[in-house]
Amino acid sequence: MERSVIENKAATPLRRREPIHLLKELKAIFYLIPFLVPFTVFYLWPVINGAWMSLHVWGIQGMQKYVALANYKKILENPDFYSYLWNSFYFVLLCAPTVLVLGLVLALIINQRIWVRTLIRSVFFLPYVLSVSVVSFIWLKLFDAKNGPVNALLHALGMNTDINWLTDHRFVWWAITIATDWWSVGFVMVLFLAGLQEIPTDHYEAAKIDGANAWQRFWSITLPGLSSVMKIQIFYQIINCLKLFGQVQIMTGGGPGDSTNTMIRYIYVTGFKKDMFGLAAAQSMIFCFIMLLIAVVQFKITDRKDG
Amino acid sequence: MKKLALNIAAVLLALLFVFPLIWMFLTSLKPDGVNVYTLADWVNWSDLNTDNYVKVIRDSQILHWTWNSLVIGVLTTVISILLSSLAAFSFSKLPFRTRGYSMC
Repeated sequence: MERSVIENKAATPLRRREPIHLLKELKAIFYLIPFLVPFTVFYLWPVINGAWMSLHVWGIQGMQKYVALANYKKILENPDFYSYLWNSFYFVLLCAPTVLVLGLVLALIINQRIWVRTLIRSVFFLPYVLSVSVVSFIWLKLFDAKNGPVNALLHALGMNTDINWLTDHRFVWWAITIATDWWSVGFVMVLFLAGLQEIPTDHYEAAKIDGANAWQRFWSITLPGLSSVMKIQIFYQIINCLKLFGQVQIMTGGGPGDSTNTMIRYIYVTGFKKDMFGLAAAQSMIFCFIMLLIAVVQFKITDRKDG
Repeated sequence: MKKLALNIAAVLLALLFVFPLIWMFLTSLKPDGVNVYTLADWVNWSDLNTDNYVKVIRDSQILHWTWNSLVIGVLTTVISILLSSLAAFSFSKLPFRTRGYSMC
């Protein structure tokens, strides 16, 4: 009874004018304070500080000069910014679909009765527990053009030439994508698996009686049943791919040339290599704004689907 | 028949996934500077030894670093669960008016 009232109020917070009960508000705030204090000190304050820095020329000795929006102007006039921004989005286009499809396939396989199911599930999840530096170093060595096992495997399968995975601009994004997929697909799989187990089995039985084949069952029952998990996964993967830094930093260093330099590495180089902290702060603000924009658009789209 | 194909596909995929980890493990048992590259290297187990492990444990403070990671991990988990569960309780169970403004 009370529960439905609360939900109603959450849906239309402005239409219902109730008097504010001071005691109620205080009680709620009392529970929130332990969270709000560290949140303000360690999150809100640095963000505000970053915004403040982005309005200044800020070198290694600290603040030098107030320049208002000159940093932003400088960034938006620099063609490098757009090419690195494109690189970040290019990686989203490569990595997000592949990791989602692969994760779904693995979840569908694991959901069947197969041999040593628990062991195979653990194997798929195992890379996810490694840290980004470990993953990047493993694949850096595996993709080595001369002594790398990946090329050795391809030679064994009948390929004659060496593929320069990390120094050829045609393959370098795929190398990073493979490493990232291998690393993060386990988590995607686990979420899909949870989604699959929530689909009632009688839907499949009814479809079987009606004569639907496996493909039809997948399109009409499994995929719609996974839609809420899918929305979260797409959102999470896009944000995750945009944040790409460690793999690029360790495996390619942004090379060959500038072809794998991402937005985050651009910020890192500007801030910590060239000691232009004000400029880097402005870049971070712009990138943060772009990410927020994506999040808002995505929430709007998925909301509409819910009806 | 279909079942067998699925099983074989699952096992093959699992092998593909575990391959980098096995390679890492094998390399860790080889002497310094020896690559695990061709098939011959994979099956040549004559030069396997635990020298690298002994070296890491004796010459670096890896046990101390692991302890540091553990401390950070435990503290982070306990503190964040404590704080966020209080906040979540307040958001979900207490019907206060300003909630609409605090959740964006």
